[in-house]
Amino acid sequence: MDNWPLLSTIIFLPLLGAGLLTLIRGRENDIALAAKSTALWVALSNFALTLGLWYSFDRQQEGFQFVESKSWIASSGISYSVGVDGLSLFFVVLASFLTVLCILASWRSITKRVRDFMAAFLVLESLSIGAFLALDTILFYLFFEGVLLPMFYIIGIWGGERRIYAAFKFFLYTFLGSVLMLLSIISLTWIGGTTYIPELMNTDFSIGLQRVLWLGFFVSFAVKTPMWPFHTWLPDAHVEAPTAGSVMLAGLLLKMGGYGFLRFCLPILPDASQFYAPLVFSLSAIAVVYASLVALVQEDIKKLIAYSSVAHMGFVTAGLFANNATALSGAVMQMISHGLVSAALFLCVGVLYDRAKTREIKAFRAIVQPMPAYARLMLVFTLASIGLPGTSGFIGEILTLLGVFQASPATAFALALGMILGAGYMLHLYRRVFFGPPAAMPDKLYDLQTRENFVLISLVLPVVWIGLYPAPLLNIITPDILPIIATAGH
Amino acid sequence: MGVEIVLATSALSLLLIGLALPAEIATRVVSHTAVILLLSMVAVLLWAQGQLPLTFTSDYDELTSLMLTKHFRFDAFALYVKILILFASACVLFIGLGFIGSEPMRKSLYRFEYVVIILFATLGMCLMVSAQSLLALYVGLELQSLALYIAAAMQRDNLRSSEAGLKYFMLGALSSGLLLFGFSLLYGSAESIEFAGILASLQSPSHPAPTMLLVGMVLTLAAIAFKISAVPFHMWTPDVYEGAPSSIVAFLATASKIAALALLMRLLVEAFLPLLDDWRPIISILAIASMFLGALATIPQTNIKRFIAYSAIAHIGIILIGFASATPDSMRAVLFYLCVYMTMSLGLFAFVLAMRSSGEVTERIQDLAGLAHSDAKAALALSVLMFSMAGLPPFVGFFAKFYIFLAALRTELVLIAVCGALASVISAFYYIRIVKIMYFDEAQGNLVLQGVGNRWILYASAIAVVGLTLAPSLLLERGEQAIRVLFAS
Repeated sequence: MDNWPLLSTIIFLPLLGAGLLTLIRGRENDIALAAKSTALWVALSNFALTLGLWYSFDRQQEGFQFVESKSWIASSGISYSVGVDGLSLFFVVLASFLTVLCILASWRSITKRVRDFMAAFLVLESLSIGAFLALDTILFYLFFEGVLLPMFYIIGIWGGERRIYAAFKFFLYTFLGSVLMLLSIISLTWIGGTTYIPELMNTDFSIGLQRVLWLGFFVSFAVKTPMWPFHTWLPDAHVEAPTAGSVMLAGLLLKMGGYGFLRFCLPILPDASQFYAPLVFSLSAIAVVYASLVALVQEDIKKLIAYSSVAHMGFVTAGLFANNATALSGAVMQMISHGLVSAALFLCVGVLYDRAKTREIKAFRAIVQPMPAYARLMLVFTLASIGLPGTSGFIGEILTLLGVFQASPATAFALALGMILGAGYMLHLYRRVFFGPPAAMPDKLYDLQTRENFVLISLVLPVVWIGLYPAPLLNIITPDILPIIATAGH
Repeated sequence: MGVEIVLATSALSLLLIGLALPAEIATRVVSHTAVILLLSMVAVLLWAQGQLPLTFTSDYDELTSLMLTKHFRFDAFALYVKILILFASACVLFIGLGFIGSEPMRKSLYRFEYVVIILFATLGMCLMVSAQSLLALYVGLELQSLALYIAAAMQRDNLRSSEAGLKYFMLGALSSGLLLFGFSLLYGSAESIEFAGILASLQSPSHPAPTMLLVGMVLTLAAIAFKISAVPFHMWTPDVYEGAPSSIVAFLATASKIAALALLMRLLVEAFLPLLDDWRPIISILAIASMFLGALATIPQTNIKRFIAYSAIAHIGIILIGFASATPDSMRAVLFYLCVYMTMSLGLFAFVLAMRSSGEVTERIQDLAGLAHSDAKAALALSVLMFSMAGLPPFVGFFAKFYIFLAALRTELVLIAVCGALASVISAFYYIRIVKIMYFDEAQGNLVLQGVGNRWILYASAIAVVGLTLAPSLLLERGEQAIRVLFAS
C-alpha cells in the first residue's frame, strides 16, 4: 500500500461522492435521506483518511511528503503535483472535519434540494482540500478559484433574503482578486521557468519584479482572508449564507487567504514580503481595531461574528509578516483555532436561528433558562474566541502577539487593544442574549438535541485540547516554518 | 484543394437533388446528406492531419494548369482551421434543423436552399483560409459574405430578418469597399498581390514602409475588423444577431468568425509581420475597446441573441490580445481559444435553438428562470458552458484565456493583460447572472427544450468543456504544428 496515492484519494473521494449522489433515484423524501446519509458516510471516510494522513505524517522529515507528480500539460510544463507538509496538514484535517459537522448540522435545517446541497458541500470539500495540497501553481489556482462555484450556489440557493446580492458580491470580489493573482502566477511561471512550487521557492527573483508580483498575490489573498479594506463582502456573505455555508466560509475559505500568504508570498517572494510588511502591519492593525469596534454595535448575531472573524484574521496577517518563528506558528495556530471556534460560533447561531427564525440580538433574552446546555457550550466558544487561557484561541493569540511585538511594537499594541475589544463585544453579546429578564418567546426555544449536542461537543474537544496541550500541532508546524524564516533572512 | 472541390460539387449537386426531390422530403434529405458529408470530410481531414509531416505545405503544383498558382496554399494551418470550419458547419446544420422546421419559420426557412447556401458560405471560408494572395482572399471572403447576406435575410416574411439582412449587406458592402481600396493601395505600393510579394517588399531594408502601404494595411485591417465585429466596427452585430434566424446566427458566430480570424492571422503573419510595430497598437486598441464594450454592453441585455452578440465581441477582444502579442505562442493560444470558443458556442446555440416557451420559439433570457427545477441536466450543462465562457477554472475556458494571457505577459504587454483580466471579471458577472436566473429565480414560463439532437449536442459540448481541461495538450499539439507552418514562410 506504500504507493497508494493517498492525497489524490483524499482530494477526489468527496467529488466521487458528489457524483454518486446524482445517481440516487426514488421519491423526494427517500432521495433526501439517502443523499444525507451517503454524503455523511463519504465525509466520514474522508475524515478518517485525513486522520490516517496525520498519523502517518513523518514529523522528523522536513519539506513535502506523500508527493505525487504527474505530467499534465507537458508543453507548458504544468503538472498535477500534490504534497503535504506541516503547514497544510492541519488545514486538510480541518476541511474534512468541518464537512462532517456541516452535513450533520444541516440534517434538519435544509429542506429544499437536499441532494444538491450535499453535493455542493462534497465538491467544496474536494476543491478546498485540493487547494491546500496543490504543489503546482496552476493546479493551486484551479482549486482556489473553483471553490467559488459551489459556494456561489450554496449562498445563492439556500441563503437568506438578500442571498443573490450576497452571492454576486462574494463571487465578483474574490474573482477580481484572483484574476490579478493569475497574472502574477503566470509571470512567476514564465520567469521562474517552472510551475512547481518547491522549485519556485528556490528561485531568486529580482526585487523589482517581486514587488510587482507580490501585489497581485496580495490583492487575491487579502480579499479572501479578508483584510481591511477588502472585507466588505464577508458580512453580507455570512449573513445570507445558510449556517453550514458560513461554517465553511469562516472555517475554511478564509484560511485559504492566510495559507496563500504562507505558501506563495513569504517563501517565493521573501524580499517583497519584507518590503511590504509595514503595509500589512498597518492594514492588520486597522482591521483588528476597526472590525472589533464595528462588531460592538452589530444588531445581528451572525454579522457580529463575521466582523469578529475579520478581527481575528487581522491577527493572522500581522503574525504571518512578523518574520519570526513565534509569530508565524502563532498565526498558523490562530488560523486553526479560528477555523474551529468561528465554525462553532456560526453553528451556535444556526441552532438559535433554526428555533426562532431570527438572528436579531434584541429578539433573545435570558435563553439560559430554556437552553442551559446550549448556554454552557456557547460560553466555551465565546471564551475561546476571546482567547482565554486553556482554549485554542489563547495559544494562537499569545504566540502571535509575542512574535509581532518583536517586529513592530505598535502593531502589537493595536492587536492587544483588539483582544480587549474582542472580550468586550463577545461578552456583551453573551450577556444580552443569555441573561436578563425572562424572554418573550420561551416556548419556541428548546434545548440542544442529541445531534446538535454531538456536533458542538466534538468542537469543544479540540478547542480545549489545543488550548491545554498544543505541542503535537506545534511540533509538526514549526519545522516547516523555519525554512520560510531562513529565506527571509538571507 | 480537395476540400473545396468536394464542397463546390456537392453543393451544386445537392441543389439539383433538392429540385428533383418532392418538396416534403427535400429539405430533410439534403440537410442530412450535407451533415454526413461535412462530418466525413472532417474525419478524413483529421486523419490527414495525423498523417502529414509537421511542416507539410503544398502550393498545388499539380494543379498549376487549372489554378492560378500561388494564390492558394494547402498547409497544416489551413487544414487545422478547415477542420474547425467544416465541423462547425456540420453542427450548425444539425442543430438548426429543428429550429427551421418549427413555426413560424417553417414557411420561409425550411427549404433545401438554406442548406446549399450554408455549404457555399463554407466553401468561401475554406478558400479564405487557404488564400495566398489578396485576390484569392477577396474571392473567398465575398463568396462567404454573399451567401451570408442571403441567409440573414432568408426569413422573408419577417421584418426583423429582412432588416438584419439589409443592414448586414449595406455595412458589409462598405467594408468590402474599404478592403478593395486597401488592396489597391497595397498593390500600388508593393507591386504584388501575393502575400509573399508584400512580405518581400517590406523586408528590403533600404527604406521604411511607404505611407501608401501603411494606409492600405490600415484599411484592410478595418475591413477585417468589421468581419470579426471588433469595436468600433461592431455596430451591425447585435442587430443582425437579433434579427437574423437563430440558426444562421449560430453559423455567423462560429464558422464565420473562425474563418475571418484565421484569415487575419495569415495576413498579419505572412504579409505584414515586419510592420508589427505599426499594427500592434491598432490591434491593441481594437482588443481593449472590444473587451470593455463587449463586457459592459452585455450586462443589460434581455434577449439571448443580443447577449451572445455582445459577449462574442468581448471574446473577440480577448482573442485580439493574442494577435497583439504576435508570437508563435500567442497564435497557438488563439487557435486553442478558437477551438474552445467554438465548442462552447455550439453547445450554447444548440440550447438557444431548442428554447420553446408554451410551444413558441423564445429568445428571452428571463424565460430561463427556474430551469434548474424543470430540467436539471440542461441547466447544469448550460451553467458549465457559462462558467467556461467566463473563464472560470476548472473548465477549459480558463485555459483558453490562460494561454492568451501567458503569451501577452511574455511579450510584456502587461497593460493589455491587466485590462483583459479586469474585463474578464466584468464578463463573469453576466455569465453567472444566467446561472443565477436558472438556479436562484422562481420559475415563470415553462421553458422546454425541443429536440433530442440539440440536447445531446448541449451535453456533448459541456462534457467536452470538462474533458478538455484534463487533456488540453490534444488540441495544443495540433495547433503547434499549424502555427509552425505559418511562421516558417
